Amino acid sequence: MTRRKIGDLLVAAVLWLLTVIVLVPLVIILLNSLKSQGEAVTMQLSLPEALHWENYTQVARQTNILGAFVNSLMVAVSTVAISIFGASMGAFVMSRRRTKGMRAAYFYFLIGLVAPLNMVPAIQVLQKLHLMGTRLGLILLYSALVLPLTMFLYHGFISTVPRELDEAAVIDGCSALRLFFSVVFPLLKPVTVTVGILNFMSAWNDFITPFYIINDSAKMPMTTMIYSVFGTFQRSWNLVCAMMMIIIIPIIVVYLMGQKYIISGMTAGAVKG
Amino acid sequence: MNRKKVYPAAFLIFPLALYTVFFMVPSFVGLGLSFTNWSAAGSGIRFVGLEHFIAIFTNKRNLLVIANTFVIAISTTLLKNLLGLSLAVGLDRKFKTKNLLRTIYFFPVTLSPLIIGLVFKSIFDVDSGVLNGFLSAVGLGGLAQDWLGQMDTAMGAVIFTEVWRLVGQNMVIYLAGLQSISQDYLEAADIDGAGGWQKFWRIVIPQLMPSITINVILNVIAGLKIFDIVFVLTNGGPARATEVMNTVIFKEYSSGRYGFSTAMGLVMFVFTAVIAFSMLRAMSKEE
Repeated sequence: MTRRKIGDLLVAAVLWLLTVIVLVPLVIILLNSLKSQGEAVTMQLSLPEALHWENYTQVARQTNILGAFVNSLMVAVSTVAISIFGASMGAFVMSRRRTKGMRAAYFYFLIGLVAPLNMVPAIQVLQKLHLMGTRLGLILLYSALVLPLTMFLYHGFISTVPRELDEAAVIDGCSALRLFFSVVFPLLKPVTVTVGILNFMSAWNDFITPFYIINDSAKMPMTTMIYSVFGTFQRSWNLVCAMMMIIIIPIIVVYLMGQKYIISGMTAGAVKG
Repeated sequence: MNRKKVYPAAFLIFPLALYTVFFMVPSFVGLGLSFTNWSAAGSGIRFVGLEHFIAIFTNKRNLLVIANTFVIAISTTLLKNLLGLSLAVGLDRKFKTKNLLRTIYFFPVTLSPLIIGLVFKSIFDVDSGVLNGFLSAVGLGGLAQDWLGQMDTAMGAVIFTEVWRLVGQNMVIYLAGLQSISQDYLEAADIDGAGGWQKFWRIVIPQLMPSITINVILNVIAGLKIFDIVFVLTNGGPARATEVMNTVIFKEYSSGRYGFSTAMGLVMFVFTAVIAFSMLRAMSKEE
């Protein structure tokens, strides 16, 4: 064995040891979601004495977790659809027409990439529009919040799509709408998948926004639901953990299916600067 | 080809309207409201000038909040970069399980910070937490303590949790950067007889500047905006030792002092935007 190979093996061994730090918190959730209430009280890293799958059915019976699941799904999917629709068309025009005005518009969007939303006046805007406390309000707010990153990723990708395509389509008599939807948009598939997954995850995982604007428990997404239930179930970590698993499992599925796209989204701009 | 016809500005109407109404309008309305005493209790809205801003920048309680926020932003930025780069360098080597390891290390990035906060709250628990249990089990019981209940350890616990959550993001950005370094440079350095450290400092680090820039900026922004982790772990306590701008914004809002909450929101907006854009400027000049 060469020295380099031995080095690789040593590095691998150290990195595998360190995964304990990453995995322990996750294993704690999984194990405690299957324990009895008494066993889970202290949230230990021990195997359950018996598997209490009924925790999951109990959560479904005692809380509105299924409703919250549907709310989260509805909010996340709508956010994805609206942000993709708005950002792809906007970025297409801004990327193709590099005039001063278009550059200013692009910069205007980029402000949202770094600056946080001022929450209290946002609530006031929602109230004026009669959207405060509604899922539609939450969806529109999220869509606006993810728009800058979505715009940024589309803008970068579209500049790699050759303009000659547009010209050919126009000569063939395509209208602007047809050019975009039937020629350009299908070519943007990789970045569409990336922003779709990223925006889904940020809407699915977000806690602070619904915490401010949704009070009615029937309209709550999963994150705020867990938090409100956490107060009443303080001593029932088994049920809280079961709820956490219900939030985490869809994310694991999305992550394992779309890992490549998530990472390409997060690293866009990292190489070019 | 008529550009205006083929790429109609009308395509921009919807995203511009959406973003303006739900992001920019609140920012500008906030600018106005920060100068008022708008609150749930008061009968009308009165102009109070710079009162809130003077309070934010002179009152010791508020200065502490800003200091805490910066302590978190700076220390998490350093740690996430250092650990993220170390992981990336390790996982850039060629061994069989490297892809699985990357998947594991990145996974926390995809989780809701609320859940992470709740789990770590149980891990750091003084009586039954896994951390104290582990310390006693390995004979370091003397180190066991009330991690979240003491002023000097609570901040460390918050920083640890936030680093745990986002180190994977730094790692993948550094991995992408490492993979874009041309092997020719490294081979040329080998021929010239450069050692491992020399290669790392003279070739790898300069070539990684774009990744370093992005990571530093993303981490500083995330640090300044931190909310969920602090809110769930300590709720700003003990004795405001971990109070940050975003928890103050929420608390002031809940107690009905909308004017002050908005002013703090504006300060956070300006801090983040100014710091991010000036860092981007400074760091891209260096490249």
